[in-house]
Amino acid sequence: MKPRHVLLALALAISSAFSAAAETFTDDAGRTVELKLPIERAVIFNRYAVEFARAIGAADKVVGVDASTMRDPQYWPEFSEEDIAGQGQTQPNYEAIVALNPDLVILPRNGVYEEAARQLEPFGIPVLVVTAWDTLQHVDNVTLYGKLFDQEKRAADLVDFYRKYMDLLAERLKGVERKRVYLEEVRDHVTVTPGSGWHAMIEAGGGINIFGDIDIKNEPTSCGNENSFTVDPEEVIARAPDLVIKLQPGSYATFPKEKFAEAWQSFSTRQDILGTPAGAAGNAYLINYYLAGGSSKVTGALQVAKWLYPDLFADIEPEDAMKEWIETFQGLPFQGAMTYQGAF
Amino acid sequence: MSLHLSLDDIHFRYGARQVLTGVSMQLDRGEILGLVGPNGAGKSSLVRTALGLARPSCGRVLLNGTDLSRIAPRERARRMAYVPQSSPVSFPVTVFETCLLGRTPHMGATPKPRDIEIVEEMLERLRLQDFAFRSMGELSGGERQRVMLARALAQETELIVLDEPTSALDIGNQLFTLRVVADIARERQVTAVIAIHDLSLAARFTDRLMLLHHGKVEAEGAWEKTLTEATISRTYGVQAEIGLLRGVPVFAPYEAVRTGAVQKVPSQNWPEDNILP
Amino acid sequence: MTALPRFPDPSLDMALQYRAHGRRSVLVILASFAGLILIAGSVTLMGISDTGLGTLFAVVAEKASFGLFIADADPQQTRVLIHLRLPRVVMAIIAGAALSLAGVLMQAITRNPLVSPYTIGVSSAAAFGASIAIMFGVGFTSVGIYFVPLTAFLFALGCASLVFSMAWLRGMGAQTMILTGIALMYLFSAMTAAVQFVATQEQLARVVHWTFGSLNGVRWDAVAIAGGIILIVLPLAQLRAWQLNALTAAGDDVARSLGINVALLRGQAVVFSVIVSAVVISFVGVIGFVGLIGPHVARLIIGGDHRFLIPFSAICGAILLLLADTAGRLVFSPTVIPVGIVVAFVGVPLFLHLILSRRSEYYA
Repeated sequence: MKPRHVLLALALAISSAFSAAAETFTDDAGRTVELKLPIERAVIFNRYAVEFARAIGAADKVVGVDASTMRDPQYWPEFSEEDIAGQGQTQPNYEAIVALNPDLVILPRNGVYEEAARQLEPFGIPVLVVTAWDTLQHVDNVTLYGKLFDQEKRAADLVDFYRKYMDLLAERLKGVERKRVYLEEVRDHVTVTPGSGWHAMIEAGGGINIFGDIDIKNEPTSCGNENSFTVDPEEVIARAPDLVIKLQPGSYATFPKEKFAEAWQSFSTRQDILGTPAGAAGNAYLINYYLAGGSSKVTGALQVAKWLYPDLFADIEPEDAMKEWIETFQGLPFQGAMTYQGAF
Repeated sequence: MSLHLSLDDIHFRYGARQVLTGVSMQLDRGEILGLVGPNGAGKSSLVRTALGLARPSCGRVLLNGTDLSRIAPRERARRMAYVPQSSPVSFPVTVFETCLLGRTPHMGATPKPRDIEIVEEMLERLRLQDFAFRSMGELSGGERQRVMLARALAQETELIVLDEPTSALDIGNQLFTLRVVADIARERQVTAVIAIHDLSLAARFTDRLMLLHHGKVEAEGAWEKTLTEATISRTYGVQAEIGLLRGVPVFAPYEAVRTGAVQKVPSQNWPEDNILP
Repeated sequence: MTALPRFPDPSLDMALQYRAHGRRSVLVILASFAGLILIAGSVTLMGISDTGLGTLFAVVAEKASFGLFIADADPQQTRVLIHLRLPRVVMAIIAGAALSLAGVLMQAITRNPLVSPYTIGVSSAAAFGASIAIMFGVGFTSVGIYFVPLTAFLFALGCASLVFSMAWLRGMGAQTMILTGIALMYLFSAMTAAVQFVATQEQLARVVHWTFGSLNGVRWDAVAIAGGIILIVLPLAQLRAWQLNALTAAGDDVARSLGINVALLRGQAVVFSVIVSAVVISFVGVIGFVGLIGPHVARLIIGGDHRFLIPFSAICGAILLLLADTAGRLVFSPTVIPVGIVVAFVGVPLFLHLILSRRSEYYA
């Protein structure tokens, strides 16, 4: 470390010591962390967590991200290879983190936060657990971010954006008889159960997850966890979904139409899909993994609602919400191509 | 000469199988006993019992009048050595290193100059000096067996027990190896027990023979008394011609007794001159 | 059969040759140890932030003199060295040496070069123990940081006792041992995988993190425990080197006829090898192949005399793991690749070489 950096660090330490009192937070793992606010230099692991920082205008306070986030460099013009602080939330590079000289490291609860806290403790770098992928914590997470980065106004805007659509969904779906949805992962015959963000998205969109009755704890271990639960194709037909959604691998860079068409080829000819009411009615879609998950999956929920109850949501364009999330909050041009449906 | 090794009424069972039934054996110091008998007669079990490697179910083994089980393993190893039928080769070890293992009961953590000297002598004696720093794996089966003998001789014991020491050797090496054993036994008053299949070699290089059959002693004593047409037929199940060629006992099996039609081969048909090299 | 050699040959002094061979072996060991120190020193200087040789010397001197000598080094560099780099480098050395030592001992008592903590299932048993502890532990912090390593250690010990006692029942055949080990390895891997299915995201991350050995989060206390154990076990193993020579070169019966208590020797070797491997695995996770390749390379260079082979295997294992971890740390920096993965990439080809080049002396 060069002397200039030492001076800078010293100056920052002094300024933060004077400008703000230490505040105590209880994080997502139940740990108590004392932080000096506002955070000026943060290293954040997990893409959703970095997205939130950018959404509230704190991207310039993020000095390091993980390589998994940077997999889509077009989506992150503000970061370069030099800002990478490790492969992902389980393999942080502590030396790289120390060299980035952050005043906070944020990890999700499926990261190695204990190890990180221990290794970074001698350097006086605190570790805070914030689990941005947990969609049910959206409001709490964003509000916390607002405090951390002194962007409470922008954080409130993001909460409003989220609430606006969630409230709209709740209001219009009041008293409506719920239809049944089968959501399939990128892998065939793999679905989601309660506890998964995708399950929450179906519920928010006014659907009933046909595998929503499965309590993962009572199931044989070989079947999977809440995010990837393997089902028998016969069971899918037996449970008669009105809508079938299949996730497609995706990123910010536009997912080419040909890829969608290719996936559609094998998807639309599957007997277990055609054998459902959804298949018979042509109510089956492919959806881009990346975009459906935008802003804690609120955009995906809108899309589900529109597919299920087109009359109730005739005036709503899910792509508009998506566009708002990308352009207003992420500050990037929206490139479209969120969903796909071909001929049966 | 005094009683050196004595086995009293040894019974040995392997699982449900009775392998040895009441076998007794006495050896004087410097005596060479040949152990013969068909496969499964109990030769190897007797050899292992004599060495204390296997515990008899009944009976006892005495070394100079002391029960073998009461002699500490290291002390026992200084007094009796073993040459097994075959030895596993697993890792690259040189001939010299292998032979040096014979000095184990005499040395501490590491070999002394005297240990190295003895190994050198034994390797030369068994004409292995050119192989000394070859890996055991590069040797032929016969060479390996000679190394194992050299190792046992380097142990400098008063008693040596050999289990089929010549089974992998060609006839030249068989003669050479047994001669070395016999010479050393004579020179140093070493007692030897040799389990061996080749009846001719057994008769030639031992002082006394013991013929085992089904775990019992069938005959014992000088070779002429032990290996008769009758005992060979009873134990091996073959009819054999016994004779002397230039003073060397020769056994020529010519018919299996137990198999089918018997057609006696006239003895004069044997190409006698070709039997010995 | 080779023609009988000339006799005697005065130019051939076997004693001289044997002593020269011994001296050469000692020299190889000393040189490789010096090499290890040199490599350790230079990789300690490599990393994201620049650290100078002077700082390293100052830090080591300060620690070695228990603070009598106060180094006037850059505090940030010092912290990086003390808390991140040095424990990692030292642990790589200890783990490599321990796994390789375990391998050489297990191979000696089974007379089989394919036996190692990894191939007899000890590693996967430890991983399963760890995942059980992670999944059903009363809590992560409340039980103490040693809860997971301790459970892993117990499972490793249990697996080893199972394998060795089964092999013992069947007459200590190396084949029985390897086959039992492979069966258990699959069983434990399957159970670890099964456990992963019911894991929450948080637990899943921990279990996966564990099944690939990583030195990323090494602590000094783990270094001290593992280092202390290997410092005790290595001399104890070394004391039995000659007996192991007898066992590998001549077999059970001959070893016993040489006055060696083979059953005791075997029991001790099992305990030593399981303790050192389990303690390392329980702290850093599953690292395969080192216990196989360390002894293999060492044997190719120095031969089968355990007096030299034991220390040299430990050094070879240490160098191997240190280089592997440094590669994992630096090649794709700032991404860190777990050392377990790097070793597998180096290890599998070497393992195949070991099988394909099976020389007659390896398999009787």
